[in-house]
Amino acid sequence: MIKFALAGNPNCGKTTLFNSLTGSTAHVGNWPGVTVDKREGTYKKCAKPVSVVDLPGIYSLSPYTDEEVIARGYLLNEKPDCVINVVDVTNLERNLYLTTQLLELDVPVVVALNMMDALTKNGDEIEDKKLEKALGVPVVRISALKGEGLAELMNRAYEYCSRPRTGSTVLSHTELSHLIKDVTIALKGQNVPNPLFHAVKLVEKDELETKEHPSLLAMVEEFQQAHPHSAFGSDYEALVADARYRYIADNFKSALKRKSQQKFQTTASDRADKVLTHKIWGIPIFLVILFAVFHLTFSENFLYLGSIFNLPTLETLGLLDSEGEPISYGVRWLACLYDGVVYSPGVIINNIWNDMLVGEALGALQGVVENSGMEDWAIGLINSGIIDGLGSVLSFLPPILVLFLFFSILEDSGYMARIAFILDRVFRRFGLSGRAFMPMIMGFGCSVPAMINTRTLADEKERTATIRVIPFFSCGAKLPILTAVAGAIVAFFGIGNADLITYGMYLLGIVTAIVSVLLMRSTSLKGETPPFIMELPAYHAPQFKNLMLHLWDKTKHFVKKAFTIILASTIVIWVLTHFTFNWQLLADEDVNQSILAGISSLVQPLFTPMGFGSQLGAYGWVFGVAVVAGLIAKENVIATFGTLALCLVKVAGLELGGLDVSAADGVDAVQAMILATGISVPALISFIAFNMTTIPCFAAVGTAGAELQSKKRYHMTLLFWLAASYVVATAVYTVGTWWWSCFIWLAVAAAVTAVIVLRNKKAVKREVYA
Amino acid sequence: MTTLDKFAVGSHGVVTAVDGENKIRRRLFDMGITPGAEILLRKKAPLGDPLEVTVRGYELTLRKTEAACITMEVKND
Amino acid sequence: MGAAEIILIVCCVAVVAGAIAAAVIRRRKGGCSCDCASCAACSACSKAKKK
Repeated sequence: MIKFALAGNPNCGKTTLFNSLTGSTAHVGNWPGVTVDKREGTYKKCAKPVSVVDLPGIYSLSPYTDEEVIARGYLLNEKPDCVINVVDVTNLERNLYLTTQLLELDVPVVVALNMMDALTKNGDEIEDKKLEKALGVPVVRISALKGEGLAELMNRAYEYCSRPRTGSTVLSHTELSHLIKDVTIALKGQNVPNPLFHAVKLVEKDELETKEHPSLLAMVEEFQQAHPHSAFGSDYEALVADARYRYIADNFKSALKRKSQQKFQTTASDRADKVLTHKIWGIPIFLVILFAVFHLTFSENFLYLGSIFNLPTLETLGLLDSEGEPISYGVRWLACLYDGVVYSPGVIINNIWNDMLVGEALGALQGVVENSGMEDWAIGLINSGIIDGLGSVLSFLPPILVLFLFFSILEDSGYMARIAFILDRVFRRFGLSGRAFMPMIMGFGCSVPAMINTRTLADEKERTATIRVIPFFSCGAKLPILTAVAGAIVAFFGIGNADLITYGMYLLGIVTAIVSVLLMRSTSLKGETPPFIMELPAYHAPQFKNLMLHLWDKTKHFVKKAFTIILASTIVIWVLTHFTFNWQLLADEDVNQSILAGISSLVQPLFTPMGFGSQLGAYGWVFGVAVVAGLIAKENVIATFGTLALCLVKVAGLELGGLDVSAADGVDAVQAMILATGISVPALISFIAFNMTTIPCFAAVGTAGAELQSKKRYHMTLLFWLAASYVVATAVYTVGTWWWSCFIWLAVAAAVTAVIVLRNKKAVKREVYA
Repeated sequence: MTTLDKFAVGSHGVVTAVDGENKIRRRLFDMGITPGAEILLRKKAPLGDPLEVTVRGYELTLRKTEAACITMEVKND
Repeated sequence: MGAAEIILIVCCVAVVAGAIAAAVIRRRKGGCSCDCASCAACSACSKAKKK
C-alpha cells in the first residue's frame, strides 16, 4: 500500500489532520510533545487506499530529542512514498526550517499550509503559488480544523508521489556548496540512499552521521581547517542553521502578507496570556482554577451556598417520608440536585447516574435474578459477586469523566504549557524542569500515557524521577477509592466534608511526589537540570467535537476494562471467598473460612503499622485483599469491597440502619467494611494514602518498565513504591491516631535530611580536592 | 551589546551571537535564534525566570541561563 | 444444578480464562502492557500494531 508520512513541527495541527484523514481518535493536545510516537491509519478517498503515518512533532531532523530520532529513522529507513510536510502558516519561518531539511531527502514532498482559517481571521494572506515556485514542490492550503483543502491535498500528493524526486538543498548558495557536493558524490559512490541529506548532516558534524561515516568526517574536517569562515570559524552547525534561516527570510518570507506592518503583534491570545501568566497573579490564578476543577467535580456544597444561606433540607421541607425517603419520583430527581445544599455539577451527574439510572437498573436486575429460581450460590455469585462488584466500579464513571473533561479543556486550550512556564522556577528547586509538569498532570488521568509522555524530558535521571512520582498523582482508577472512602467517612462518622477530604488526599499525593523528587535528586538521581527551551503555542478555545471524542474514548476504555478485567476479578474473588480449601461451598456468613481469608490472614500483619492489619481482627484481611486486587486494576479495590460487602455485613450480624448494601454503591460497600472491621478514621485515610502511593496497576508497572529500560532502575522503582507507601501510610495512621507521634516523624525527617546534606557536602569536598 | 537575560520587558533587539553548550546552541538554532534574528522580550514568569520572547512570529520560553548565551544588540526604536 | 447454573459457570470460566489469556498473550508479544482500548491507536510501544 502507498505510504504517506505526516511530518511537521509540534502544534502545527498534524494530528488534527491525521484524525480527519484517517478517522481515528488519536489523542490531540495543544502542548509540545503529546504525540510521542507514530500513529498509522488509512485514507480511503483516493483511487487506492493510502496508509498515513503521523510522525512525532519535530523542529528539525538533527537528533536532539527522541522524537527527532524516531522521525528521522522512519523517513530514512521506511521510505514513505510521499512526505506531507504540515506547516503552520501562522508561524511560517520556523516551520520552514524543517522543510528545508526535508527537501534534502530523496523523497517526494508536498507542503500543506495548515491553519489557513487562523491566518485569514487575522487578516493576513499567503501567496502559495509564489511559495510553491520558490520551494520547488507542491504547496496546498488547508485547514485541518475546518476540514478544508484535505481532498485537494491528498489528491495532489497521490498524483505527485509516483514521480521520483532527488533531494535539493538551500545551502547550494553558500560557501559550503562545494564541500557538500563532494561529500554527496562520495556517498553516492558508496550507494548510500538519500546521499544529499547525509552529506549536509555530516557537514554539520551531526553525531549520528559522524559515527556512520568516519572517513568522510575526515574530509569535512580537512575542509574546515583549510577554509575557516569569517563569522563562524569551524562552527558549521551554526553556519548551516544560519544559512537556512537566511535563505528562508530572503526567499520565502515575502510570500506571507501580514495585515499589520507591526513587527511584534499582540493578538487576543497574547492579551489572555497577560492575565493568566501575570507576574504576581499567575500562580494564584492557577491554584484557583485547579481548586475550581475539584470543586466543580466533587463538592457537595457548591459555592458553599448551603452554608451561606442556611438553606432548608428536604426533610424540613417535608419532602421526605417517615423512613427518610423522597415522597415522589419528582422529589427523587430534586434530591439529586439539592438537599439543604446545592450539589456541584459533578456530584449532580453522579447522583443522577447512580440513584436514578444505574442504581435502578442494577437493583431491578438483582430482583429478577433473585426470583429466577436459580440455586442460592448462583444467585449469590451473580448478585453480590458480579453485580455488586462491577456496579461499585461503574458507579464512579461520572466523576472520572467530569474530571477528565476539565483536564482535557485545560490541555486543549493551551493553558497547560503556560503553567509549565510559570512553574518552571519552582520545579527547578526540586531538580526538575517545568516540562516535567505536563506528564505529572496527565497522571491525574492515567499513569500509562503520562509515563510515555516523559519522553519529552531529555535527561534520563529527570525522566526516572518523574516516572517514579507519576503514580502519586492519583489516576482516574484511584478516584473510586478516594471518593468511596471519603464518602463513607462522612456518612458513617459524620465527620468532615467529602470534597475537602478528596482534595486533601490529592494534595497528599502531590506533597509525597515533591518530597520524593527532592530525596531522589539529592541522592541516587542527582544531576543537572536540563534546558528548558519550549514553544508556547497560542491559546485557542477547545473544540467541542474534540472534547466529546476524548470523553467517548475514555468511556469506551473504562467500560471495556470494567467488563473484562474487573469482571474477571470479581468472579475470582467471589469464588475464593465462598469456598474452603477443600472446595466446600460456604454461606456468606462463613466467609472467614474461605480460601481468600486464609491466604490474606497470613499477610494481614504486614498492614498493622498502617492501621488496617492485625488490629482489625477477624475480618481485617479484606483490606489486604483489596490492596492486592488493586494491583490488577485500581478500581478493583472498591470492586472487592463491593463483592464482599454483603458477606461481611451478614457475618458481622450488625444492624444495617438504613444501609442498603445490595444497592451496589461504592460508598455503602465501604461503610459495610467499617461496620464489620471497626476500622478507625485515621486508618481509613491511611488506607487511601497507601493505595495512592503504592505499586500501581500492572499496566502502569509494565509501562514504567518499558520506559525505564534499565532492569536495575526498574527494580529500584518497585522498591521505591513499596517503601513510599509503607512510610506515608504509617505516618498518616500514627499521626492521625496519636497526634504526638508527629514529633517522632519530624525528628526522623530531620535526621535523614541532615545525613543527606552532610553526605553531599562531603562529596563536593572530595570533588574539589580530586 | 548585551545578553538577552539582561533585557527589560518590552525591549527588542537583534541577535549577534549564540554561545553556550552544544546541545543548547543547537536547540536555540533549531528554534530560530540565529544571528540576525529579531527578538522581543515579552514577559518574565512570576519569579523572574523563565522568560517569554517573541521570535520569528511565535512565542518561545527559555531560562535566564539559556538567554545569557544569546548576545544581542538592542534596537528599541 | 439446572441449565441456568451450568451456563453461569461456563460464562464465568470463559471470562476469567479470557482475561488471563489476553494478559499472557500481551506479555508474550512483548507489546504494550496497557489495557487501553485498542492497540491500533496506541502509541506506547513500537511493536504494537505494525503493518
